[in-house]
Amino acid sequence: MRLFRSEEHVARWSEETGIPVGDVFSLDSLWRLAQLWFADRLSPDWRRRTVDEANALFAKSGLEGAFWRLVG
Amino acid sequence: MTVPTPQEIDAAVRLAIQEEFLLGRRPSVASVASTLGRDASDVDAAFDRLAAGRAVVLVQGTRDILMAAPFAGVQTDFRVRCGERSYYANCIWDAVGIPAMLAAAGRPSNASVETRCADCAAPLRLEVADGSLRAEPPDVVAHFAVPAAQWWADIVFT
Repeated sequence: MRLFRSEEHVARWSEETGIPVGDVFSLDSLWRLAQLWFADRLSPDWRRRTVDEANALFAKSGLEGAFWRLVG
Repeated sequence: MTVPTPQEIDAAVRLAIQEEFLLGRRPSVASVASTLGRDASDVDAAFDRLAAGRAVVLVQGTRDILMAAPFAGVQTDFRVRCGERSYYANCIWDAVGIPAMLAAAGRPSNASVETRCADCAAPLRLEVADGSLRAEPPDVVAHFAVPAAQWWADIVFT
């Protein structure tokens, strides 16, 4: 996951590299995702999330749709 | 004396890896074994199990840590400065994940993230202060090129 100066830069990068645009999202969504995803990382009880747990967390971060759907 | 289970050893090793990265060092089997007072062979096995469970990513054919999210074991385009220390992260999600993780643990978490626009290479800077994230310039966006279902086909490029 990379950062771009603006959506126009994502489009230009896609055109130049031939890599299709995936999902573009705001810093607010990025910050929510990071806060939820890494909240327990320094806990001794941390464990890898199940697919369902990860999908629920993406939805809670406002990142929905087929792009953000992990499959088991 | 109770013998720890492999799961208990893995949990201790995983946490020791995170804490050593937080000290600004790249953990190794030897350093983690020393920290935990365990035989290197136990830690070797734990590194292998953690890699199999995708809790860490090792450099192929070695037990050198490539990724232990949010930390990168190698230099990347995502530099995070927090207090006196600086770290490398694997991507922008992991970069802001470092202060997010610290805040959740009740530790000092104000931080800056330095990276570049993946298109034009212009320097971009994020600041995390008092639980908020701000960017300079302010209209930056994050982009994921690879759908979630395909991340582990090549976890280095997402």
